[in-house]
Amino acid sequence: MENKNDIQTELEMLSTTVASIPKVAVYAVPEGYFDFCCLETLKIAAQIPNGYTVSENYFQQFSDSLFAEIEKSSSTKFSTSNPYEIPENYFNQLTTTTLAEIKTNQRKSTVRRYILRLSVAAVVVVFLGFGIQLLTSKKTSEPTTSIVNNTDKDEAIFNQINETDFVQYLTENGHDVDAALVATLTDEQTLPAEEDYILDNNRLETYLEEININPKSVN
Amino acid sequence: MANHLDDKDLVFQFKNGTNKDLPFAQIMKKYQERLYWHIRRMVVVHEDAHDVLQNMFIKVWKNLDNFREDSQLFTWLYRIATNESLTFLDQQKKRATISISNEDYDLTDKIAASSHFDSNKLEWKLQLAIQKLPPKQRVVFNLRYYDEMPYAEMSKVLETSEGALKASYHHAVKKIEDYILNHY
Repeated sequence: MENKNDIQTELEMLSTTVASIPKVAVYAVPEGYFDFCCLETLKIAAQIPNGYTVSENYFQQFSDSLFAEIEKSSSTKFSTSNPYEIPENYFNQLTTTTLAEIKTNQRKSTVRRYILRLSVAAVVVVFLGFGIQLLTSKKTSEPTTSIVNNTDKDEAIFNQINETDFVQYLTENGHDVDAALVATLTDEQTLPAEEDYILDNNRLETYLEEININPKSVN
Repeated sequence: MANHLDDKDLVFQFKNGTNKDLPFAQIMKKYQERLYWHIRRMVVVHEDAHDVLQNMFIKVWKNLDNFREDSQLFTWLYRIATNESLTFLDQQKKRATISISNEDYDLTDKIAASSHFDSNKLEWKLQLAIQKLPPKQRVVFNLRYYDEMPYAEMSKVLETSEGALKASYHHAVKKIEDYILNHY
């Protein structure tokens, strides 16, 4: 282990200038400082507890006092009682009056429900009727059973009409006679497929000739 | 070495005795002056040294029960004193940095403000030169020069290798020499 001489020798080797400086205390210290310093520090240190301690039965007393405080405050400061007044015997009569009210309401609701059902049924019938009418007027070309029966009768009457009378009737009423003739004579079942007569110009002409209509007169 | 044995007894009494004041007062009386000067050379002003010393001993009081005695009490006390001094200086520097005056925290000004200051005297020049050193180098120089502490002991206090301490001390001496020669 190094001693004082070793340290001094080392310093002299490093710097003779520094080694030659006298080691004197240049800083002043108040008189008697080291006497009172110890006492003052001890006073402060002694006030510092070495750990947290609580008095005996602290936690039991704490909980007791806490509950007592809660009880006290609930009955005074923060009372849970209802501040609103209620009629005398209100809760006794409540059941009877409530039951009576329920029965009255039930009766009222039965009548109301009956009226409501009727109203709904009427509305449904009206809408249904209107819908059917709308449907039949649109689909005149789609005969129902009764319409088919009527058509058969109409056809019999229609067959009795002379072609000359028919043409005359149409001319008098401003209709295109040729177009009407085509319409009456053509049959959807015998008409060539749309794709066929679009692709082949002669197909339609051939067909019209087959049914004895001059295509040029139609155009 | 007899002192070290005494230290062990004092620490034992503090840890296990009913009255902690007595062994603690003995520890304080034994080391307060040396520790005071160690701190004073670092912080310069007496009032600051007193505050640092007091805080240091309060920390000792709080932690002596947990002192594991891996090192000697003397070494442990010096380590706390050094750390407290460096922390204090660091805080002062930070305060000076954020202050409106924008003045640097310069300890040489405080030395110059001392009542007995004489710039012509070598011992005062030495103090000015020491304050020009970086704080950790200053600690090394002070412990070696004033406290005549062996590198082995210093290594325990500062928790730094002996080689690094030796290099630090040599640099410090050279810087001080340059300062004194340039301000002669």
